[in-house]
Amino acid sequence: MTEGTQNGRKDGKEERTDRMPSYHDSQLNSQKPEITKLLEQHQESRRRIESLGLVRLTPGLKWLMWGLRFYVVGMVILVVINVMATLH
Amino acid sequence: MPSNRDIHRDFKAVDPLPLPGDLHQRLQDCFEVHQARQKRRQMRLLWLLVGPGLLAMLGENDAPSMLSYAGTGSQFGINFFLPFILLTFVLAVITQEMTVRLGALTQSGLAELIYRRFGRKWGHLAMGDLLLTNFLTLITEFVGIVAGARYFHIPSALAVGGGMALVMAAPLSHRYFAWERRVLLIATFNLVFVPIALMSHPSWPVLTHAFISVSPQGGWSKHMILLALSDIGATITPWMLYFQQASIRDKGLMEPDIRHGRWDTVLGAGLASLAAVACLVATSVLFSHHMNTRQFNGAQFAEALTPYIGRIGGSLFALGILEAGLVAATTISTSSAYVWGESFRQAASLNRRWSEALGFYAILAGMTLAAGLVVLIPGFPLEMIVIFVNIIAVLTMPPIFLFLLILVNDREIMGSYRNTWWLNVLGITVGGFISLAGVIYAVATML
Repeated sequence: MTEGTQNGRKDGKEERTDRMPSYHDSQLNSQKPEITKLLEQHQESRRRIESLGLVRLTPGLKWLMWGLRFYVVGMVILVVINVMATLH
Repeated sequence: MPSNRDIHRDFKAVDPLPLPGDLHQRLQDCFEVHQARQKRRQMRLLWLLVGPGLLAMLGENDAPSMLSYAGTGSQFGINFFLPFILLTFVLAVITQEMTVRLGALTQSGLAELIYRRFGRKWGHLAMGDLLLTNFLTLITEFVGIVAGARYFHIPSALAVGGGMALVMAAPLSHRYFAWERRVLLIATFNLVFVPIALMSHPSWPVLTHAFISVSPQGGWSKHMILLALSDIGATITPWMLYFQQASIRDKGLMEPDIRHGRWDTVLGAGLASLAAVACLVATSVLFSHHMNTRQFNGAQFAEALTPYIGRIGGSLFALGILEAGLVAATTISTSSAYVWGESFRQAASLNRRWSEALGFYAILAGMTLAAGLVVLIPGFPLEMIVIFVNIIAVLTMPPIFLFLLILVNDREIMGSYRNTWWLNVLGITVGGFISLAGVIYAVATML
């Protein structure tokens, strides 16, 4: 769900709607073309991002991502051990 | 061309349309920027567009960071560390600039893009890293607030309560722009370290010489390496990436605003590095007098400095630490709320009302409340958290940085704004530097 497709409900939960807010029905369309243009630019960016799927990762990148994940876990364990040792 | 009053009236007329509140506000801000650009009002354009970079950089000069700089200055002097700290801010600019382009081009936060492009598993891991480090950092911000307030004999509970109230009251306007200006106003107080440094009467030839120092006074040691690592963590942290990109989205910056977004980042880094170096210089007076400051907190630094910079200087130092904690608590709790909203595809905007974004505001308030209460637990090892929080920030940075690098090289997302080869060289250098810092830490702790 995106910013452009969300509507707040009274109970605070978000409700998904497939309808994008349209300015074409608005009286402002004729009065304020700049506003319409800005809205369209914004919606175009959002539409482009929403249409994207998962990125294709090379095996090397996958290895690197997992390697860094293990690096983080290992380092955090090391920090915790260090903290415990310092405390005692 | 309509006046500002016309814009507000026209946007009010838009209300009956099914536009979410945040998009409505964002478009209003965008239209004001559009007008300033059309009228070629450069200063107004700059005024409207600066903010996310300034807040990320000044917010990162938080309580543990300022204490880290103070510890460095008082234990190792300014040699080596002065150019080293400036270098870390250059690295921060390289990193943050990428979020400017990503945010303006995609109108999305970093967490959302990680979920979309790498899937839920990696998204959850990245979110987990961030929320953990943010919570620990938030605790240290309240430690800083308490330490600064202690100098003025303000009880801890009152200091924590006041800090929590300020952080939670900041978004009451339901408008990002108003929130940003309010926090920026407090954040500029970070520059109080500049007059404090001047009060310590630094030697200008020594300062000049410090810029060409390649090793710290007293040589390399395990403790020195830990402080150096802490100084890196004081400048480059995961929350800054998420915060700046989400703020750019919330502020409504678009492709034509990227140039100003870059200036915003450079300006923020310039001001933050000035405050950091000033803190280092101010506390180096304690190094000259061979004072042992290893276990000092904010108030103790202020008290130790008082004989050299006067009572006013000491009070300003304590206020500086207090302010650093307050601003960072505000930006870090907001960054956590942004990431939560983006990760679970919920409304995540300071332009929304409470009723429209309950989860977002609940995370913001809940994390602030929990971190504040932890500080009040008697006997909780707060000093340890303060020491290690910057280090944990550095250690959790490499995976997020890799996501960022992949995203800014993504042709489908970035188009002509994707990283050039030299930006990639710089980015990989920064990533390598951060990872190497972690490895050095591991080796140093095992010795």
